[in-house]
Amino acid sequence: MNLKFRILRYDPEEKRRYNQEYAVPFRKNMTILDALLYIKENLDHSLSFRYACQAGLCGSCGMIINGKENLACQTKIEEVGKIIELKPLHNFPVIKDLVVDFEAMFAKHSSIRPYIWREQEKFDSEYLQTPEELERFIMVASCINCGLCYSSCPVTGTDKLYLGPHALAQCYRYIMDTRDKDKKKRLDIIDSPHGIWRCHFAGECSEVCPKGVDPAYSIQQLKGFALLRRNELKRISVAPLKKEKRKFE
Amino acid sequence: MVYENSRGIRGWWEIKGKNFEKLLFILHRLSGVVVGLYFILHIFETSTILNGEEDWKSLMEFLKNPFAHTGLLIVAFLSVFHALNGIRLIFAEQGLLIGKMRRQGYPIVSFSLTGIQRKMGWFVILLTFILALYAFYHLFIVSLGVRF
Repeated sequence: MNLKFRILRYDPEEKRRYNQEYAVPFRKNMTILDALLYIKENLDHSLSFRYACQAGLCGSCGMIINGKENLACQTKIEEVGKIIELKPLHNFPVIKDLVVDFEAMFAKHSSIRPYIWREQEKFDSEYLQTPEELERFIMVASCINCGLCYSSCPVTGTDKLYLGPHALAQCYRYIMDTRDKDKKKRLDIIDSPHGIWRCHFAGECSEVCPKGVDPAYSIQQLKGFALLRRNELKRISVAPLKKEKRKFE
Repeated sequence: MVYENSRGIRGWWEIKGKNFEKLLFILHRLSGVVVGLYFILHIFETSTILNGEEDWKSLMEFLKNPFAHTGLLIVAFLSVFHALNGIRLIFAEQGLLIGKMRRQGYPIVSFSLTGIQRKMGWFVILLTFILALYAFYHLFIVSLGVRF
């Protein structure tokens, strides 16, 4: 049985977008990435796409598969049918075929300072944290930077300055981290018309996230912190768990 | 040379294969625009009373027809939806009723899209239909005297 692949390609030299079709023989448990590799090896060497781990960990192979953002390595042919349409991710400039430029998304990610932020660095030992404290942000820390949320967000498509679900979710991750100290400064970065307030809770980011990071949840929590629950942040920054629970101290 | 692949405003209206919250998002925007336009027309409509009682009464008579009342029914439906969904959003956008942070496991489900807010969404739709039915009763049966 042959599968029909319709791929939206882009030729940067001729500045031309066009659909190209390929017939790929079906194999049980085949993923979209397997099929793309088959095309690349046997049918068309010029087809460009990005991939690395083939295990849903690196976040390189994100694309639109039959109208929905997904990772090519994690999507089985059986799940999507015999006719498969592939397009590059939305809201990113396309470099060639299915390869997009993540620069804008990563620049926004950098703007929220995605690292532990303290006035006085500690170099002689590691920062300690209880398992309970880790549970508060472990879900968001699973982000693999695949850009599916950024592509699916309807607001990112209309506001280029909007930080986007990826950066905002990561901001939430650092705000919830007890090792990070200056929550107010972080909140000041995102408490803007192009920050958390541009999100209208369409929920598409959470719907497409392959790791269940749930950016929509994180952004709504940030809005709550910014509006009515600023006091909660103070409690997080001083590691609020009871002393007896922090056995390592 | 890269190709800017932004969906623009088109992305706001895509519904095929999307989640329930996206449908509510679209309806909220649509209802906001329609109700906003209606308010402008409504100001013009009610301002005719400044020209005297005769003008007002003749306008009311002119608007007492099935077409105008169908328009009012649509406005009633959309404004009720906008108000009720607005209440859902007030809670959800405070980080309330959208579940609690927990470690993810397979099968992965985004709990903000499965929490109480989603049930509230369905309740909003149900209540909107019930209240629109009430508006239908008043606009067509009581006001226009339609009999089935």
